[in-house]
Amino acid sequence: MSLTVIAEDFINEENSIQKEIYDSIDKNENIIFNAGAGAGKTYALIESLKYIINNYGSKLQKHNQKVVCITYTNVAVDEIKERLGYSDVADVSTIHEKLWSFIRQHQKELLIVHTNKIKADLQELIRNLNENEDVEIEKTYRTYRNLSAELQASFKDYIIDKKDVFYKAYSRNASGFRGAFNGELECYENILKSVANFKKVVSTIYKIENYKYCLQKIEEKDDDYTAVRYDSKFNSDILHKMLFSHDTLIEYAFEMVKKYDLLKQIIGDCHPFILIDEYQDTSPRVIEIMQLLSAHSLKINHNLFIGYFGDKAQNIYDDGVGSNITSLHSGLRNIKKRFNRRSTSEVISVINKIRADEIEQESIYEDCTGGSVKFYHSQAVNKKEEIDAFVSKYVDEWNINNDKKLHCLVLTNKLIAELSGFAELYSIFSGSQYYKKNFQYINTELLSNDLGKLGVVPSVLYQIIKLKILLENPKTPLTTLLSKEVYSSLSFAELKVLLQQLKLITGDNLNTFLYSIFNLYALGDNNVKKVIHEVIGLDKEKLSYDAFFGYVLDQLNPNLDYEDKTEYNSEKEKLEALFALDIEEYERWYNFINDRQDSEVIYHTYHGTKGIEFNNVIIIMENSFGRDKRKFLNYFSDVIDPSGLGDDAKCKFENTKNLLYVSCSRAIKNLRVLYLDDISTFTAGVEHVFGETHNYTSS
Amino acid sequence: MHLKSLSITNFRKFQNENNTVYFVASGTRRIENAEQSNDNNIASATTLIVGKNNSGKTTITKALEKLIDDGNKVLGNDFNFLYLNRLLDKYSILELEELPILSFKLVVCISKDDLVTNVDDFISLGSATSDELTELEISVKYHIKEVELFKTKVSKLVEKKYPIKLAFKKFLELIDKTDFKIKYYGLDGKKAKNSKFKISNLIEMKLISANKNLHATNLSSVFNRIIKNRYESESASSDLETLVADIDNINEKITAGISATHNGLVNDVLKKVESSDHLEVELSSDLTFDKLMNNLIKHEYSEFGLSIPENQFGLGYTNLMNIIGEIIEYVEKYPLDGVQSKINLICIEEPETFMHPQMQESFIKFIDDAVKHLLEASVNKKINSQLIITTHSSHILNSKIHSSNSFDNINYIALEKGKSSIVRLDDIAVSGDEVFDDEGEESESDYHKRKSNELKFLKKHIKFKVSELFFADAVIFVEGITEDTLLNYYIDQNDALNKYYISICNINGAHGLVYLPLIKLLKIPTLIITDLDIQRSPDEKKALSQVTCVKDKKTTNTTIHKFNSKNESIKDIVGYFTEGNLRGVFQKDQVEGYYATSFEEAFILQNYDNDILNKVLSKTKPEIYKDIVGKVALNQDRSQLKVNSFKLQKKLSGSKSDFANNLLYEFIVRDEGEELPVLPQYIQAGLFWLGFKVAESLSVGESQ
Repeated sequence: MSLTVIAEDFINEENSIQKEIYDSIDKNENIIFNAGAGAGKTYALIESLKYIINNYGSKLQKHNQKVVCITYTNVAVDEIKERLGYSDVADVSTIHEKLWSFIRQHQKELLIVHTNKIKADLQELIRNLNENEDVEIEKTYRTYRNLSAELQASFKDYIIDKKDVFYKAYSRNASGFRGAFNGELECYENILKSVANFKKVVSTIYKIENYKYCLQKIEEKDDDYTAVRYDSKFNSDILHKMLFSHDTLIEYAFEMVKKYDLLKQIIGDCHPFILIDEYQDTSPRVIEIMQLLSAHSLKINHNLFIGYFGDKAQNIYDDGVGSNITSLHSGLRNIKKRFNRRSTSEVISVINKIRADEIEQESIYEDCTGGSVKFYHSQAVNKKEEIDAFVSKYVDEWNINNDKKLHCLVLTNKLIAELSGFAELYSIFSGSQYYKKNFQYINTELLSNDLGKLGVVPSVLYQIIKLKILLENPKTPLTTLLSKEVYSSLSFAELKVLLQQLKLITGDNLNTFLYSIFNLYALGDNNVKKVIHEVIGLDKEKLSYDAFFGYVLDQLNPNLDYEDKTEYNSEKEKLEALFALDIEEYERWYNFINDRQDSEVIYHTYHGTKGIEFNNVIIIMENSFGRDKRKFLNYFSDVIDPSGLGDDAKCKFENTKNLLYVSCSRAIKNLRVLYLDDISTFTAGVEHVFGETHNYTSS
Repeated sequence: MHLKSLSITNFRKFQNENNTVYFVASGTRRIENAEQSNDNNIASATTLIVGKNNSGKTTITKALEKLIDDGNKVLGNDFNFLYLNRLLDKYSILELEELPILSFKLVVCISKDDLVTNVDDFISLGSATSDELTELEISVKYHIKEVELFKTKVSKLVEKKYPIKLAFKKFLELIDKTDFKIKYYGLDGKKAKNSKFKISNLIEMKLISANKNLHATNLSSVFNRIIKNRYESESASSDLETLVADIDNINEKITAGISATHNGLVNDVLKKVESSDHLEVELSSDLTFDKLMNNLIKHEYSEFGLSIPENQFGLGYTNLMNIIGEIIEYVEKYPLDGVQSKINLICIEEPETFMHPQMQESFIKFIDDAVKHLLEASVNKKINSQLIITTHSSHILNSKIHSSNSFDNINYIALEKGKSSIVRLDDIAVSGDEVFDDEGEESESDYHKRKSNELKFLKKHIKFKVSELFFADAVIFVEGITEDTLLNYYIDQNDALNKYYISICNINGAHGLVYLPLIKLLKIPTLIITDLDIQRSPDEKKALSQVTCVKDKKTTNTTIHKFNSKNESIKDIVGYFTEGNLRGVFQKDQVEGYYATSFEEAFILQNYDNDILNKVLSKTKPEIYKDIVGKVALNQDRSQLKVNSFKLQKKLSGSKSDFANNLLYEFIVRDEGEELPVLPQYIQAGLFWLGFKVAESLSVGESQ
């Protein structure tokens, strides 16, 4: 067995690198620790945590301080906790959880930030409604603007009164929608000329009303409006309900830290050591927050150590800071590690070629050979069949079974959806107006393992499927399903009745399931209503089948032209098809998101494999990735000498490079690449990275 | 809501096996068997924890107290030492993975009217949809707070290579200094999400500990509290107002009196020292409701028409009154609200203190009557408490068995190789795990009837045997008066056995078998001395012939039948029978060439040449003795006794008691040099085994 014997001088060198980190900890000197894939970054991080606990633990305990370790997902949090052993002094959490804990105590200040945000948003809405001269915006609101001031006012009153009618009719076609108002809108001239614009006008009016109402309540110090809450479940804010989501959380935290020196001191004093895992994927705002904390601690001469652990070459999220970190937080001591503790030398030499920067890895093991890397290409027409054949070839060759799984990284969203059993779902989503326009988002918004990154519609559907799965599992803890508010006054018998009612929610497809939910919502008692409201997390008006359908239709097709019957019908039919999908397809998607696939071959997106390693890896690749039809083609064409690329091309090249680097570096032993396009124009580039190329034909 | 069971792991006396105590549900439960039913609600709803001294009874109440206390503090001696020792062994070879953890598992039953707010974290959808009662599991674990720091300290400790005892002491000290943290786990070991969960919110326990110093005014204070509660309860709010108004009046009156006479005087004096602008005192009466209540009740016993003050009364009565007083207080304090979100435990520790045996026998009945009466008096209250009594009194145990007419809900704590283990007794376990054999001769209804009769017999019969069985170090079952009389003497002489409390039960034949399941449960080393009972044909009996070969013989002994899988043939018997803590011995080997059928015969064969035996035989059966050995004193042939051993035993059968008593008499009065008869070989072997077993069961196991 290879990868067991560590070379002695290498271990010494590794130890001395670790000592450099300890030295910085002792000197309170902020560091950035860079190491390639498989270098044992997490090991270095955990050893650093242990060092802090062992040397500063009693002091931290005495002052009730914590060492904070921020990492990217709950899975990663659990892994670090597990490897560290239980500790009260070490606080391991995700960035959102941590930021929320930083600011949640300070509701008074948070309320100010929140109020400002609403005020700013409100101003923008009012400007859009009345005066923004932007061509598109002017067009949308023109009919409204053309009304006299008097008519505008009466229109507002009328439409606010008709909220129910509006949402009920929302998803109907243009004439059906118009019909819902019984001609009562005729006095407002052309207001219904374009249903799409009308809806925007009305939605804007509703929003303005909501915001105004909310501001007024805040002003009045109404009991329900004294505290703002972060809700990690959904990916959109409901500001007027005093709820906000991930992105806004980071924004609020930044605003508050920037504004209040005392808050900087509190955070720093309570957490004199902050270690950040995978810094490259952290939002630049977070780095700014850290920089502010660090600068303030220097100013008041309190100790604060900040350590970033990561690898700029593994920056795979667009919103991650990547190599920009040094411009946001300067003066970091750079510590590098050149060893690889994961892979065989065969794999290492390939990933070094991809990486091609100052970190050239070397295996720490003496017995590091014995792996293999092979690049196959095929021009088969039926790609799915070709992949199946290729995968089953290796299932046999590598004796794959349930204890020894084969991991396939699929660099095409469509393919991964197909292979994981939710092709239909994927294809409808990707065919929606929103994802056609924002195709680059579909990978994270529909396929991400990080729930925080799911899109608005996927996130709501996720919660609905989760409800189904929770209800079906007798082991589901009560507190996962219900909030304390719901059950605290119920006797056990009443609780059973509530659960029995909830269990009435069933359905073979999403449609029947949704009907069953909304039916129960309409008929059920207050407790049932509360539960359903909590699950779906939308305004009460939207909790009917029609309104929900309309909401989703609107979200997936933000610019739907309701006048255009063909377009309207086509999008409506697409959504109907989405809702008609078998519920099992949704469950497969749910399991994929939760990384719970239970087969001997497991398919991943490249995002989903961060930080993990597999003995045997197959990467399925083709020219196109996302909407970029030439992504890998361009990459391999430029890889031998990327120096002449322009800024834009350079940026794309880096992005592709990181993607390929993360994917290939997952392999411990064997790596296979199957490229499903003609490579003849860039064979040299491929061979530069992978060596000899092989032609693959399944037949 | 009630507590169904508590499992205690690595805490004090308990390790990770046989560590579950079962509690009976709260409230009234009628005994299923209508024939035996009575209105005794408390007796059958009381959980009894019995065991010898130092067996771990207190560990159970301590565990409950620790859980309810919610504190994070864990000391070295909270842990089971054997467990710690094993850990230290691992640490010394630098295996640091396993960390010391104290854990407790509670199983809680919820019924339909209960609120779930205190157990929300532990309910799953499945548990909330099943029928009437729902069981929840709550695990409470005390984890080390800073694992990394602990490991570093432990490695430093073992590096020093202290001698074993010192290392252990240092290890205990290290644990004393280590911080622990409580964590709660629910279903499938999932950690509870609600960080605010506390056992003290879920369980309320009233611990009545009779051993706590009964000082003179103990009872008065209990009654004071009761009366205070009465006043403070909602229903009496108008009474309280009146009383408070009265107190105010009194204060006013006294204050008026004091200021008239004393204030002036005191202030005059003060004025001389300091200007009164700065300093002036005002004296006033300060009687308050609390003060009044705390000294309100004088408690006297009435005896022969005379009032006897509390401190002159017998401790036993004081103790009983104290317990009853505490229970009254508990009931009084109990909220009227019918909704339950808590478990209520009343735990009475060793109530037998200072009570004479008859009072102990009636104890359960006393408590029962008291609580029943209290419940009748407060109709609105739906008391939902579980009563737990720990005791080492055989009388209280008896009382429990007989007033509830059942072995149910008794937790017996046995000590085995230094490990405490909890044995859960109930009627089914006590009557044995034998299943109905549908191929046997017995019909099913006969089987059930026999079983129920056996149980009935056991319940009645055990009354006289309780202390022998439950609190002995070892038990010997014998089948006759001779063994019963003589064994005590021999055991007294036996250095391996005489330091233990060994009870000898003389139970004839098949009746002894009824005890076997119970004995097995109790885990007490038990020796059954039975007889080979060789079946002889009427002719053989008549001829009084000796048995030299058992190849074709059968035994009539039911005990041997049972152990020999119902096989009667003697040649199939392999040896003595051993089943766990039980061993059965009998005359399996020849003595002096003959097979003995009974103890007496074996005893005679073994000691035919012994002076004492000869003396006793000639005294008990002079004619027969002379017949056998010869009439002339100087020319007697004692070896004839061997050849006529069966005849002798037959002739002795009517006067076994005389024979035994005569022997015992001679044993006691024997001269210095006179040789004592020896026990038959099979009994010697049995006693040797017993000595070994009892020593093993009472040893601390692996040494520290």
